[in-house]
Amino acid sequence: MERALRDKKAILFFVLPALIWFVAIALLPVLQSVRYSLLKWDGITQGKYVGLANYTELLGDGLFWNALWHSLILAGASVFIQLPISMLLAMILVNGVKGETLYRNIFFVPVIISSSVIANLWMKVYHPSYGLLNTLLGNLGLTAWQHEWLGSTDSALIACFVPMVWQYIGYHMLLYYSSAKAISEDILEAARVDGANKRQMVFSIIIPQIVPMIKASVIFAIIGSLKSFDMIQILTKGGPVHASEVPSLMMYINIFTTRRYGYASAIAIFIIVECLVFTLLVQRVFGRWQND
Amino acid sequence: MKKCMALITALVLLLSLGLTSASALAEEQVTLKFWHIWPTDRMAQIVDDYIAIYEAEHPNIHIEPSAYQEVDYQTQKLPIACSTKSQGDVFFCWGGGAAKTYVDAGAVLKLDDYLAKYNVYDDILEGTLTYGTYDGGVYGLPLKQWAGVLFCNQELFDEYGVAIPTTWDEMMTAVETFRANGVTPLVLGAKDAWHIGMIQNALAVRTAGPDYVNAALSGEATMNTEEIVRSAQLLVDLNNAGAFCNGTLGVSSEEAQEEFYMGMVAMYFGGSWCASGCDSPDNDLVGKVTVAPLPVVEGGKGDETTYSGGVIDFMMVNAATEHPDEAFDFALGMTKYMSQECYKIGDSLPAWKLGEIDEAEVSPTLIAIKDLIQNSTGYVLAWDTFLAGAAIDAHYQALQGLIAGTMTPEEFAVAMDEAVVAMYAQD
Repeated sequence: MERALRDKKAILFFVLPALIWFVAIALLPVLQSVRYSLLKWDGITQGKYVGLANYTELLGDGLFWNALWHSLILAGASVFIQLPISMLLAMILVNGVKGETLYRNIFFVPVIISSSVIANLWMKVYHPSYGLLNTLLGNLGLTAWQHEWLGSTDSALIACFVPMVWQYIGYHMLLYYSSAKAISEDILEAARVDGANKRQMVFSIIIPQIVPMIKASVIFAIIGSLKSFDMIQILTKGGPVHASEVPSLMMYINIFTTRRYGYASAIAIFIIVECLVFTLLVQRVFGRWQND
Repeated sequence: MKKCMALITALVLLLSLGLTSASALAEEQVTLKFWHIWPTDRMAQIVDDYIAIYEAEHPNIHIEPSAYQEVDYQTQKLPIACSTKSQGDVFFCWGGGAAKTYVDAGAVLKLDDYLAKYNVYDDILEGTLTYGTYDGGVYGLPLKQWAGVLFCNQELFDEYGVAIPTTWDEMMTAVETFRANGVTPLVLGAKDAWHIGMIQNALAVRTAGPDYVNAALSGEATMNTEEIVRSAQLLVDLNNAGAFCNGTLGVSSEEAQEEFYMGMVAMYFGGSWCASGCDSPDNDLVGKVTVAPLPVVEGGKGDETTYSGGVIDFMMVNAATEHPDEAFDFALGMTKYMSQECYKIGDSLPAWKLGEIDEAEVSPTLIAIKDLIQNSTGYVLAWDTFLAGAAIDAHYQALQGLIAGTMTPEEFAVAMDEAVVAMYAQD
């Protein structure tokens, strides 16, 4: 092994293809975006260098802070609503219920359906006149609760978040479930011999064993939320009047409607930095937890 | 190893020699890329039909069509392709503000010489080149005309004893009557802001008159006038009177339109392109649709002969094409053919002087619209096709703001004025 590591050519040989690939499709575009973010540019004609003007405008843009706030709410909802539900389902399945495989597959179904299909399904659920939700409320006699779910500024955001949070519950559940299943039977056996009940098994044995997976899934959930786009684009297009706008949607509008590539690139860079910061933060928090 | 390399080099040289001689032989073969926005249905059929006709007439020319979804095409595909002039040799594009950037970037071929050479001016209907003309040069061949009209479901009007409205008071009465009977009076998919714009833009034609609105959109007059405020106010009045379907801000234009086609809604203010849907046997409306101009507004400067609409669909030629003559020839043929066939299927009004057409072949609703606009005295394009860049987004946000109640009609006029001024200040 050591001899292999000393062979710089061999290292280069094995690393280079992946490195080239990574640089070409990940690093270069990011660097290019950094360059674009310093331009005032419509994407077609010659751009004009404006320094950090796009960034100063971004930081003073109330709409951007509004969008950012929305994405942070989504991140919060993902971590504190979505993940606990996933964990609960995973722990129920791990403890062996009848039809374990069936339930596991059912919970996972939303993950394999494309987001645009889910969004279209939920549009039918939310439709103000003949939507499932309003019809149900009407049949229950709760007409006062009927609402223009996607069409009103006070509910559009939440209405978008519900399917987004729901969609990935199965995904995180599967992560927890599979890592819990991978815990050595010896450990579980030892706990049982020591007389641990199911609750103690979950909280004292299983969860501490799968902390690395929890860390990964928290990072996935947060980053996924910060760059969320597809579902909102289809459900509300960020509207009505910015009520459900998130940064990546704002970036999209700035590129393709208002044709401000420079400004949109600045938003892109902000999202990248934001995701990196959150990843480090989560690593930090979990690092401390794991050390305890 | 060296031998091997030499061998390979020799082989490559040999091969490339073969290729050059082969291409020299077939020099006459020309391939033209054609980009358009009709991937499905009858429009796609028309495109395919003409390509087959054209290829049969010109055996040396091969047409390579690519069809895209319109919105993605206009907002993403074309801007990116035009930045490197790699769009099709012949391509569809909106005129007005949309193509301006591409023309400025030198991605579109100026057609004046070709128009003169092919003697095209005689065949084009008057006024149809306006929004394909930039700095005095023509850059697009007009494909079709549209006009915004009020589609009325006559069956529902008869059922509730309502007359087709001709004045705004009658319009509001009709709205109240239908609403009182639990029928959605006027369908609107406000999630797509352009759909709100259809109504407000047409109202502005009524209140301010076409000449003024055109001047304002061109940056030669201010948007912040009483008449523009009034056009927004009338829209807000409609909304407050419950004219639109429930939760309209969460409903897309397609969903809304579908409700009208299903016969559930009394009125729909739409473009003439909806005629084909009204006459389609797939829908429940055949023979039930009456078309009318948008009701006139008391004291307004635009009478019932003025319309929202015009010519915004153009065929253009890539400035970087290797075969400009062939590309223009094909574009011209395709444009004329489509103009005629689209008229027949009820998609749009022609932009060209057409030969004799058996009217029995044409969608009856579209004939009704054609009769309606025969004596038209003025048009204004949809604002979002006239304007460009940030001004479009500002318009959309202001329209949704009116419906959501977060913006007053006065603020709407101010916002539009600022957006238009900023747009022309950039140039």
